[in-house]
Amino acid sequence: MPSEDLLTNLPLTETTFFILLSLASSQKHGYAIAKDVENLSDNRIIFSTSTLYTALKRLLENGWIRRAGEDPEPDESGRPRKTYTLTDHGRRILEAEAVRLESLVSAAKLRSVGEGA
Amino acid sequence: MKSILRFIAQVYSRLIYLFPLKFQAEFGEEMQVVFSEMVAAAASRGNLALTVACSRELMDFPILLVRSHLEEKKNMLNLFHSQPSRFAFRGAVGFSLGLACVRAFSLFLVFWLSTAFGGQMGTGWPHVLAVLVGCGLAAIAGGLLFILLFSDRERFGWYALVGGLGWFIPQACFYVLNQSLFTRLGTDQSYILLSILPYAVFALVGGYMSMVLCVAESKQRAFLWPLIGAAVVFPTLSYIIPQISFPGNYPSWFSLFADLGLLAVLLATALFLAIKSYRKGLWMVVAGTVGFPIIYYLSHFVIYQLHLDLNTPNVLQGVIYTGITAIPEGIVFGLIVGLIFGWQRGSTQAAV
Repeated sequence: MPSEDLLTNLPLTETTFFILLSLASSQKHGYAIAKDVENLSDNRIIFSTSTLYTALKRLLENGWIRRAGEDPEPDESGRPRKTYTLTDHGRRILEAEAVRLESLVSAAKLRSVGEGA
Repeated sequence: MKSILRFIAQVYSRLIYLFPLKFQAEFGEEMQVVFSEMVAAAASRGNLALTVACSRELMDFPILLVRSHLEEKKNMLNLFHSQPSRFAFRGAVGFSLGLACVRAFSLFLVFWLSTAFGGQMGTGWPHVLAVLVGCGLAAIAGGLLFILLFSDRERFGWYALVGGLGWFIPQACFYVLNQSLFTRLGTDQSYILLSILPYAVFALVGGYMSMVLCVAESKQRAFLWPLIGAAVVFPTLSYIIPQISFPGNYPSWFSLFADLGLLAVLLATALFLAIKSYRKGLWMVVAGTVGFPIIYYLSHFVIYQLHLDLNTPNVLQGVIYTGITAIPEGIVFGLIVGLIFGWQRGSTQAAV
């Protein structure tokens, strides 16, 4: 069961959830996060640049993500790209949200099984 | 194409200067890099994709700009973080600009095409045809507005088609019915109808816009054919019914009820399609049908209070004023539609 401290941050907004989920597997730079969120959300969440960076700013301030350095592959113009990664706290929040969503789905399945019987 | 992309990137890099200094220093350079990559990727998928990508950026930009400045002062606006509010503000910006352009464009086309078909606005079928062509072209702009506001990358065409039809049907029926009723000028029924129509058209537009949102979100192509059928049948009926139910041929009450019946069938069709396509379709259409005329008259009340002269003799001025007066209406309508839509989409996704 997630701690009380973690639960106060839930439920996450969809945008936050997908950004954290995107960073759960590996550190990424901004554009990679945007593309990954598009894929994860089945193209329903398409970030504009300003939306992405105001969300990243908030997550950095909350301490859920941190800067992880620079991507070894620069962009086309040769400019370095900063990458982001989940902090331990961010990972715990993401896990707590996943548990919460899982319990919702379980409840929904139980009810639909009950009604179907 | 490369020069266009470079130009867009330069414009964006200037816009970033509008953000608070701390934000610029922390994210400015990264944002330029990511924006350049995003527009380059969009451009590789075609001009429409590029336009949509830039427009999305443009619509989100003012909201996030205000938000980041306010957060600099005080970390208080959690309201802006929710999905419904993001859709609501996007709706307000998009609908205000979109409605202003589409309505001004639509009025211009109707004037221009009617003149091209033979002088002043008249009552014959060439004028009706001009009205239909004008509404059809404006529907393309309406469809584009729908893409910008609500579609995802996979379904540009679907949203454009459904949004365009949703724009076309009520507008075309209104203009055609209006033209057709001119043949009955002098009869009591025509006065009653011509005074009802301006209210009815906004109820129809509100109802149909809400309905097409339901149909678009349902992603069920089966609803496309009824919409296409309605786009052909209803404008035709709007022309024919006032002609054949002329009070001289039938009792006067019959003429009135035949025309009112047509409006009722139009609304019932929107309601039926919305209910069938979306679980909260009924409330969406009721809200649109009741809300849009109220919004229209409230927003125009403000315009009247400002004593703007809308009855200008010059067509160009009329077009410009029409565009300006659509802005407050678009803001309120976009806020409401975006809020409902964002909330609905958010709750659907949360359930998944």
